[in-house]
Formats: sequence, C-alpha cells, structure tokens
Amino acid sequence: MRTLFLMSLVLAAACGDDKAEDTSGDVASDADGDADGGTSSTATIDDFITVTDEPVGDLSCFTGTLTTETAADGCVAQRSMYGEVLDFQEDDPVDEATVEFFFEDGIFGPPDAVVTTDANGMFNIEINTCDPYTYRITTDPVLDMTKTTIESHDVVPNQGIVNPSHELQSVSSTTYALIPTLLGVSPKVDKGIVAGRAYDCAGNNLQGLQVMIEDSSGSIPDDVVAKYFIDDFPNRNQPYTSEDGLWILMDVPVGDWVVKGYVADGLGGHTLVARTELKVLADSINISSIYAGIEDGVKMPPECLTACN
Amino acid sequence: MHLLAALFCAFGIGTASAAEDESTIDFDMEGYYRTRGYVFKELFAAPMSGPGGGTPAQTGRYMTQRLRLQPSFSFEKRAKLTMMADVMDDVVWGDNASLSSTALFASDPSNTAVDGQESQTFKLKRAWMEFDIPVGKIRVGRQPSNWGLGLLANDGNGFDDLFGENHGGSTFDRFMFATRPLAIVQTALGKDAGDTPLFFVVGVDRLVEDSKDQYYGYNCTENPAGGGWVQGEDSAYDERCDLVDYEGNPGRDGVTDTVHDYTEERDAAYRSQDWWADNHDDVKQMIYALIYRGEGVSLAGRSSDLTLGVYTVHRTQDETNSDVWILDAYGHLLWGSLLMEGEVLNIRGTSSAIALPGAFDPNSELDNPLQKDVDIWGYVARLGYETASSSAIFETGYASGDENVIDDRFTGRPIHSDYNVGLLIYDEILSRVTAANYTDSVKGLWSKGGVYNSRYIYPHLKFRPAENLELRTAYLLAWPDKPDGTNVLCAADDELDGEPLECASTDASDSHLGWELNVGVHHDFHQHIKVALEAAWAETSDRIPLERAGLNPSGKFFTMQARAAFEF
Repeated sequence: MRTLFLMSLVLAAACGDDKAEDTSGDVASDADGDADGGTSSTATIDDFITVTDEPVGDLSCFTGTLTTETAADGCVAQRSMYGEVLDFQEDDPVDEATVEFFFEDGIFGPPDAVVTTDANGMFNIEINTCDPYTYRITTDPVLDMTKTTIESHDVVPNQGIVNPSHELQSVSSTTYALIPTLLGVSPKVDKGIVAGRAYDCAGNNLQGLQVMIEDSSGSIPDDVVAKYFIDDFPNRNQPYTSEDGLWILMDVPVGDWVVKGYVADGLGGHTLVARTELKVLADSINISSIYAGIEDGVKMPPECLTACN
Repeated sequence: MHLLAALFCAFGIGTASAAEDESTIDFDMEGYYRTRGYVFKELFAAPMSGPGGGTPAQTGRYMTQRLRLQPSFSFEKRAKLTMMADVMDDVVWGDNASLSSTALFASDPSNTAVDGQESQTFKLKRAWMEFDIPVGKIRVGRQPSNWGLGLLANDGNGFDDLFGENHGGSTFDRFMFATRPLAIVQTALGKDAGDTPLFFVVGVDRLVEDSKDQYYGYNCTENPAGGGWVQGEDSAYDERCDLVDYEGNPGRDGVTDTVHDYTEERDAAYRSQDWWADNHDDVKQMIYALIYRGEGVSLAGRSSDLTLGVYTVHRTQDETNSDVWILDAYGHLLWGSLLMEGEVLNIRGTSSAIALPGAFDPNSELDNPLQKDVDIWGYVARLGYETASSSAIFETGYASGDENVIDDRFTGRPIHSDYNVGLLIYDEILSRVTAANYTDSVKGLWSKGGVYNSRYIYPHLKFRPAENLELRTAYLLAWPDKPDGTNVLCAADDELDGEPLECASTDASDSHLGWELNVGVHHDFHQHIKVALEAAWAETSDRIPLERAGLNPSGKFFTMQARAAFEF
C-alpha cells in the first residue's frame, strides 16, 4: 500500500513553483480549526499552498475533521512476516540490506529488531499485524549502494492465520544523487528529504494536493522546497500532486515535523485534508504518506478495520 | 609543398616516409613513454574510503605512466598503414590489485587505472591506411580526428597543452577523401596545378552499427492493479504495448502486456545473426572540411602564416529522429609576431536520443518527451605576441551550459577534455562534481575535465631563456554560463536570456566560479627527453558544490605535477 514511489526522492526539488508568490488574502485554515501559517524567519504557508485547481479524488470520507484509525479487536497479532527489500526505481531485490524495525513507530532509540536480507532481498521477521511501525534500511556504507531509507507508519495487514508477505523499499545512491541533479537541486548533507504519496478516501492517488511542513509549534523551516511528480518522476514545473499523488520535500532540517496536505476549497482558500508526523534524519530519505481524513499518517488496511478472528 | 602535407598537419595525419626502393616497405615507429606525478594538497574533504575515512584531509600523491606506440608501414609516398597502441595506458604505479598477498612485499606492479579499476595492458586504439589516388588521398580505418584548436575534435596526441596532459583523443571509424580542389580545376583546364594550399575533405563515419540499448520512443507502463491497461477503459492503453493476445500469440487483445521505458537496457546476448542488418538504428555522420593553410604568405608586407577553415559534421540516426549539424570554424594568423587564433563551434539540430531519466514534455505537445532541440556553442580566442624567446597571449573561451538538462532544449556541452585549461578547476574539481551528480547512469553529461558551463579568461606568458627551456605562467578566471542549481549553484540575480533564472534555491552569491594560477617549467634535452614541472593554486567560489563530490569545502586547492617523457 505504502509503496515507495520515491523514484526520485532526492530530486523533487523543482524551481520556483513551491516558492510561490504570496497570495495575500488567501488565508489557509485547518479543518480542525487551527490557523496555519506558522511563522519562521522567512517562510510562510503561502510559500507552499497556492493551488487553485480543484482536487481530483474521493474526499467523501473527510467530514471536516481529521481522525485517527485504530485496529479492530483481535487484529493486532504476531505473525511471521516474509519481507522483501526492493529498489525503489528498478524494483530489483536489494541483497545484504540491513533492515531495522522500530515497533514504537518512530526512531526513539535502538531498533527493536534487525534483519539482513539474503541474496534475493528476502528476510523473515516476527511482527505485529495492524500495528504501525517504522523501518530503516541501510547497506554497507563502503559500497555506497543505497541511501538510508526510512519509512514511518507502515502497517502489515492481518490476513488471518496466513503469514503475511510485505515489500519494503530502499532508494539507491544513484537515484538519490541523480534526481536532484536533473531537477536542479543540490541537497544538503546535514538535512533530510521527506517524501510520500497522497491518497484519497478510496485509497487511490489524490491529485491537486500541496504539502507544507512545520514543527509542533507551527514554525515552518527556511529553505525547504516542495516538489511534485508526473508519471512517477519528479518534475520541476508541476505545482501540485498529479495523477500519481507523489510529493517530496527537500532540505528538511533534522527533527520532528508535521507534514500537512491542502487542497483548494473552491472558494479561493484551502482546506487541510491530510496530515502526518515523522522524525527526519540527516542525509536520508524519510517516507511518510498522507491519507485524506487521517491525522497521524497511519492508515489501517481494510483487513485491520473489521474484527479479526 | 606536398599536395596534402598541410592537410595532414591539419587533420593530424602522419607523413609517409620516402621509399628507397620501389618494392621496399619502410617501417617507422613513433610514440612516447611518459610518466607523470601528481601531488594534491587537501583535495578531498576527507579520505573517502578506508580506515582513514573521516579524518582531516591529507596531501595525496600518485604516479601514472603510458607507453604509446605508433608503428607505420609505408610504400614510397603512395601508401601507408599506421597503427596506434597504448601500453599501460595511464596506469598508476605500483601493485594496486593485491597481486602480492602482503602489500609490504609487493613486487610486480598491476595495471590499475586512475579510476581504481584494472585496465588492459595493451590497447590497440587506432589502425588506418591511406593511399594516393590521382585526384587526392584516401584514408580509411579507425583513425584520429583533430580540427583547429581541438575544441571539438582533438586527437589527444603529443604534448601540446600549456599545462596538463592528454588522456583520451577523438577516434572515428572513417572513410575520408582529401583533395586540392583548385589544383584539380587547374589541371582539368590544362593549366599548371599551382600550389594554392586550399584543401577539401569529405568523409563518412560509422559511429554505431547497433546499439545494445533498445530505443522505443514511447513507454509502456504497468497497471498497479495488475493485468495490464484495458482498451476503452484505461487512458493509459497504448496499442504499441499490446503485443500478445490472450492465447499468447502475437497480436492484440485489447489489454497491454508489455512494460518498458522509453529506452531499455539490453546486453549483447540478445543479438542474433542479423544484428547488424537494421539500418534504422545506425548512427552515421558525414564530414566536410575546407581549409586554407598558408605558410609564409605575404600580408601587408609581412611574411605570415594564415590558416582559415570550416569543418562541418552532419550526424543522423533515423530511429531517434536525430538530425544534428556541427559547424566548426577555425582561424590562425601569425603576422610577424602578432598572433590571432580562434575556433568557434555550434551544434544544432533535433534528437530524441538523449534519454535522460525524468524527461518530460512541459507543454504536452511532443509525441516523444525525449525530443530535444540542440543548440550548443563553444569558442576559444587568442590574441597576443609571440617571438622565438617569449610570448604573451590573452585567451578567452566559452562552453555553453544547460540550466535544465531534462527539458526540451539541450544546450550544454563541455569543450573536449584534451583541450586543457589549467590543472584544477576544470580538470579536477568540476570533473569530480559532475561525475558525483550525474553518476554512472548519465556518464555522457560528465565534464571529464573539459571547460564546462562557463566562460573564462586565461592570459598566459612564456619565456624561453634558452632554446630548450621554457618558463610558463597563466591565470584563469571563470564565470558560470547557465547555473543549473546542482553542478553550478544559482545566485539570486542570475539571468537566462534576459529573464531572471528560476532556481529551486539560490545558495550562491559569487559572480565567478573561481580563479587559478598556473606556473611551470618545461625543458627538453638529449633531443628526445621532455621534462616538465607544473604547479597550480586555485580557489573556487560558492558556485561549486564541493561537498557533493567530497572535495575540500574550504575551496582552496594546490597541486604540483611533474612529467618526464621520451618522445620518438
């Protein structure tokens, strides 16, 4: 579900569009009543949220308030999961990859479990279904084959007594280096990249959404650049999510951040329709998709929302 | 003057030895052995590999060597076969392949190149023949190509650079005919052929017979839901991607079954017996050149050397709708001691062959998002004073850049890497930055040491206190042409075609790329020995993202290099 569509995680930094001119009078407000536009030294919400085209996607589940989802009774169960690490761009298995699992759904300390993929990129781990977790994938730094890839709020569905299989994705160093280059961005090694996909209520890609990032106090970091994709590839000129729903934020400082997704409300303003929280590490790709109506970026698979045996 | 002697000089063709006997084939051997030592003070931010990683930068040093052999067999002055081979081609001294299990006891050196990879000991790079015909000369085979100052076509031969070394060289599989058109016309009219040094060349090159990578020009995408895209239901359905019916037989069944990108990597295993038969994917070019090469020409009462010429290339590939013209004009005038010299090139046309990741059609107007209009410029101009004992030359040059390599305009190309300008900014720093940014995936966009996306001035002085001793000094100052935000960072006031340049971020503030000071001593002795000692100091501005390539972030660099060569 939460695939790494970050074909070009690194790159999305396109020129200009997300540093849009100030649309004065266009006050963006969350559905939950908070006023956005938290201040930093120079960046404001108007630098990021300028879309006027109506979104394309199912927003019927969004009632004006972001909510959270929890697993139904009996759905959180330990299973032996068969996992495979795939390269985000090539879909090739990544061998000898170190996969660290953080079952508190955030990197707060040492990992709870560590596995290494075999020659086919496969691994096996005991994991709770319907319980969000974070994983981090690295390979031998000397070989420099992959970039540190972190995905938050990943959830394995409960498939009954069947042990689930699941794909995790990592981004190669080549992809990490090349995409920003092609899009005209020089990523800073002391900052991170945040990327994800925007989904609508039906689980399809949400088109016409823009993202911004702020800390818990509403401060927006300087120099962050938001970019969007066309046909799963970052595009310098795309102003909001296209049919592929992909977005990326470049040069995000290390720390805890909130990503918010806005769509045009048809009245000249914008509506907050999705949100996620994540921790960003330097020189890494941090993945966290956003889902319409969801506040914390944790989207339960359908199997987790009805009682499990 | 021999009919084509000047042409040989212009195109780097070796002259034939005189035959002593009609049936005698003369053998000649030319070439050189050179070794060059490099010392770089704190080039890197920190040693990039090994246990020293993370420690402060150190002074790095290494030695390289090359043996170049160019044997030739000539029959009188009428025919000649020439070969060129490199032995230990730019191989680093020492055993760098752990031939000895214990490094401390190493004895046999390896053939490790500067990139750290093993290379072939012996490489036959060129072999060609040339022979006279009544109306001119024909040269056929894998041969060097050199034109003018070597901005576009540079054979990489010899030791012709002010500073630095030649490493590569332009080589083409070519059929070429050269003639003196005025002489032919005069002869046809029954007059004396004369000795006007005007030469015309026409040739054809075969660049690619069959590319391993398959070009489609369209992509076939995968339906994430599985089962392909359905005709009439999915807008992504493309009949070109519907190749097999539901029974597995060739044909369409209304559901796509093929997935590939605009190009597809293949290996040689796919080739069958007819792999060469497809002419659609062949890359070929026609070359035309007209050059006047006058020596000792009287101009305004002074004996002068005057060379004027135009070199034209027309390169095509049907499969990718590539139709590219290259126009390269060269001029050289030595009027007494006054020197004026210059070369300007323009590459223009269209092509869909440049398959970069992320290619897109910004206005959704193109049939193929890979399609690009090509418009590339480059030039070098020199003006100065040259005598037997000294010279003072002011040089300026330019290589057009590209602020967005994935849009529909392709405007950037570095000057040939064997046209060396300095020792550090272009040769080491920008070459490493472009390599780090473009990675092996897009090696064609690396600068490889050539002048890149910039304009520069490069005044230089030479002083010859003795016949075989020369002191050199030069100063380089360069400015960016089209900052792309990744190899050359943007500043707030950058402009493109008179409009503000849109960049994702404006991380730079300096107007120039950097400066470099070069000094050198060159000495020839024993008729064949050439030694040189060269040094360079450079300071780059905040325009160059040094950290991306692991280079010293201070932006201050120093190198000292020494060369010893035996030329024969």
